[in-house]
Amino acid sequence: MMEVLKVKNLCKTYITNKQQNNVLRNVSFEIQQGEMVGIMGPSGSGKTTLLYTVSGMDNCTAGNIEFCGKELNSLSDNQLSEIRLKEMGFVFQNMYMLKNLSIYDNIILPAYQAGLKERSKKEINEYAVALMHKLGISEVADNDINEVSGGQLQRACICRSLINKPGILFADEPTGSLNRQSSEEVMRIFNKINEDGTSIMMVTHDIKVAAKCERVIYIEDGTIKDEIQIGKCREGEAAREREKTVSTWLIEMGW
Amino acid sequence: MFFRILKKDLKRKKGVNFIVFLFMIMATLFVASSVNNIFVVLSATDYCMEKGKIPDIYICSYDNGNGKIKEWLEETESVKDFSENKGIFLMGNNIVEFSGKNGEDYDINNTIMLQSNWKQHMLIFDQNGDLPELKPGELAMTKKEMKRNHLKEGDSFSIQFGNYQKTFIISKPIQDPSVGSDYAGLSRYLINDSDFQEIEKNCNQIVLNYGVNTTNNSEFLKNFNKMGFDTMVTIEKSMFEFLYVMQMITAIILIVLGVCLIIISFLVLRFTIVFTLSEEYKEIGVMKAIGIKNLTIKKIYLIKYFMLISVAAIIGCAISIPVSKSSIKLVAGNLMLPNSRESSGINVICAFVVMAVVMLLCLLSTNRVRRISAIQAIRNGTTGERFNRKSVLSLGKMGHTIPVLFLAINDILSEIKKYLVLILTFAMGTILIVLSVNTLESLTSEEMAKNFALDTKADTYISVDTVDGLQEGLLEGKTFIEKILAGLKSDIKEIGYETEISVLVYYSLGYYMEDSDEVIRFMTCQMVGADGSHVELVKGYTPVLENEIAMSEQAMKKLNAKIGDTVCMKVGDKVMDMIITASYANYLQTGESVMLNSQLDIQDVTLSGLFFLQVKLMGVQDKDTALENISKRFPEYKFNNMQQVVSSQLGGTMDTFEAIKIIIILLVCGINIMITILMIKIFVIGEKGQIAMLRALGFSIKQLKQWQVIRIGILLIISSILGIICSTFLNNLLLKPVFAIMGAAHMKIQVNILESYCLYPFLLFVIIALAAYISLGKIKRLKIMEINNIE
Repeated sequence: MMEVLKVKNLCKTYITNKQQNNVLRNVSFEIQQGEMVGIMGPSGSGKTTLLYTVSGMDNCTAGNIEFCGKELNSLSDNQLSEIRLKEMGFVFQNMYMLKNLSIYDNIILPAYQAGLKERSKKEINEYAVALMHKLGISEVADNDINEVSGGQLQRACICRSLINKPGILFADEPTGSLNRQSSEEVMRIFNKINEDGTSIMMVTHDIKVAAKCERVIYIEDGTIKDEIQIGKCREGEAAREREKTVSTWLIEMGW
Repeated sequence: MFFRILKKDLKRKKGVNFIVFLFMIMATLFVASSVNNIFVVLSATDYCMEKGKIPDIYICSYDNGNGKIKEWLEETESVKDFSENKGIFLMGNNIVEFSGKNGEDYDINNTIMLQSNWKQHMLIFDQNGDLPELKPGELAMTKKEMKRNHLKEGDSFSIQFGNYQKTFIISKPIQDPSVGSDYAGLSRYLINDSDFQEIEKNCNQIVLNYGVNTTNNSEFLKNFNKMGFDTMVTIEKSMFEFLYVMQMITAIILIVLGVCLIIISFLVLRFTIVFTLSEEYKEIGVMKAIGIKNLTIKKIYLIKYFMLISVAAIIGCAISIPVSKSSIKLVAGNLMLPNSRESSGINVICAFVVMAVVMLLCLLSTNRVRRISAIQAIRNGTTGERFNRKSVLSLGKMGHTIPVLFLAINDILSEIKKYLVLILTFAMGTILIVLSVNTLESLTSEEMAKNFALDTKADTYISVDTVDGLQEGLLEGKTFIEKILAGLKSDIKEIGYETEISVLVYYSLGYYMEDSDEVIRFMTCQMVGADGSHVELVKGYTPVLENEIAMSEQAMKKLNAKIGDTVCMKVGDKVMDMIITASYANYLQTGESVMLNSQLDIQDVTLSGLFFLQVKLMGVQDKDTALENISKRFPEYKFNNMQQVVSSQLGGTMDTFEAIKIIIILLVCGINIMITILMIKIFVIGEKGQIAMLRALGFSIKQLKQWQVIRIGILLIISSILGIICSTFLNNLLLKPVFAIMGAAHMKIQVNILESYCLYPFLLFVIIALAAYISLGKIKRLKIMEINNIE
């Protein structure tokens, strides 16, 4: 299987008030194509920093990040933007959308930004409609962002992240602001996307969410303490068993 | 604790706070200096009239030795008191040397009257406002006159009348409250009494000046005009006041400019205060949630703005004192100013007023704190506002749109209120620039030249004081002048050029309607050497026959006459019936004048003056070479182009307007830059969540900057269009009345399309786009990974 993301000896250091703060220390891992990886760990362990650093949104202090064969450290800001636009998708805890655009326009904006050379306007619109239908938000397409529920908004954010058919989806606590029902719905969508071949790297605090992942990495004090392989989550599979496995493992980790 | 919060706030938003602080300084500065200007300039004309002891009526007549006017004044009941003073008209050929240079090079802009100081009326002062005491051999003139000919104290100045010659030493400059205005056509040179008496004996250009205070002006004038005295001018006090109209107009322009800047400053302040509060909704909510009272929360903001405005008011007030002085100097020109200009009390009061207004704005804005509940504040704190507006445009439904362009347009259309401050400021700036450019364009236009009855088709205009013999023409009359013109024509023909030469001469004649006994004196013009058909008429046709005249609209109104009426024209003791064939409106005698036909030869009345000789080259292809050859042949003549003639008539007005235009352009650019930087900083703070999100989605820094710059650019284009449309209306609303005051009610305001609609809007666009781009550097420092922490 092909590696989408290969991280080797990644270090990230912040200097605040003349004090060195090593947030990430020699982190190494890989994500295979079509894999869904959860990142867990206590607050301040470096999960979010890891996510943003490996996605090229932040620079690393040392180490290598290879995305689809491209060394991210050697790329310019514009090249990184291009990769983020065309090959990566992002879902955040805070459901950021442009407030002056409708849900539909927010979704198609990255596709228009990527250019209409590769895909026609018609193709983009058809794909956006299909995505929205798949994620069950077709009826709110023309709504403003304040006219939809949190769950609908997060699904719209997922649609937006998928509009350019990315190779990998980075998610930073995507269910953090949602209620249980909406969270489950979002995770079902993530599983569906993953089944379609999109790799996912997701930071979460939620055991139920982590249990939906194929593999969970536990990070503490900026280093990977352990990881657990729980296999692909199949539809209809008893969730309780997977959650129990993850929960037991996390207790072992000192969660 | 509050001071710690304050300190942190000042540090955290130092860019925004600094610009707000600058606007507070500017608001204080503009209010203080503008109000000071208003007080000083509005009282300056009255002060001049009072200080100079300007009489109710001023009469100037050639001394024909019969003393009839004096006799009549002594006997007339409506005369309260009067005084007499002799003067000598100084022509170009009377000046033989100045500061070691040849007298031919002396630049005479106005008619010069040499005189000793009056004792009772029309007083002249030194720079300290005292009556000057000149020693024998000393001559004093105004700073304006000295500057024009690069004269300084101690320079020599020699005059000659026939064989008599006298050399003076230039003394300290004087101030002339009577005719010191640039708009006055007379400059007075002051000499010692004994020197004047000596020259008087050797000169035949003596005029008698009378200053008369009356019990009733109209009664006096009615009786005086009936007498048919041969006078050059009879001027009422109101005309002396009117001479300062340009200064008043300039002052009003500066005041309007000040008001615009004050409005901009307060708009920006209000916007910033409201923004700061909405941006801190969440903090306010948290403070409310933990039980801090409304008043205590409000205090934080009130103390912050009180501190800022206190320091800003002190600085603004301190700067406003020298600014007031220099702007008054710019406005006042040669106006004698009352001592209140030294007063800085007005500036201090204004500073307190600005402080009060800012605190009031702040208080009103902080009232929002009371209206919102803790939970509301916290929930809306994410962005500081609710999104109730529906998106206006649809990316999906539009054609091939560049996303950043779409975002910029959609932002403006969705939240137009948010951008109102910018639109208004940019539009006001455009209006100010366009109006100042149009004013200057109108002043230098052919249209303006027509308003001085100039034949704009003439190829050159010769200053009459440089042409030998023309001064005698004042006494000898029209036929004599015609002979001189014919001589000049044949002289020019000798070097191979056929010409048409004409000159506008003027008299002071009385007019009355047959059914009325009220005689009104008007400046009466006549074209010598041309038929006067170049003078633009409002109605009717150019007077051709000997008994036909054209009359200015204002003169007709005063006389209660209309086209087709017959009016009685008093020429010495004779009365002539004249038919009005046309009406016109121009600047001659501030709109009150009469135009004679070119046939009539008035013998019995002395000419009051002559305008420029207008020379038309006939059948000449290469006019530049011809003019060069003519000027070589007649080196003593001063040749002017049309704009130079207009400039000489407007005096320093053009320079003042040019200076005002530059000040306006610099101010507008400066303010626009500051507002752009402030707004960009505010927008970036308010939109950092969206910016970080777009960065995460793959928008590059360059594209994000483009989004912001395009948005500002579109706002500027909207504002420029708005400003240009408004200025088209304001041209007629503001500028036309200004020109009408001077007599030209039908003056077409000239629009310099290239400068007004292309050059300056483009300049503003470039400056603002640059300011926006530079101030967007902060975007780069915004970390995407902080997206979840961004409020």
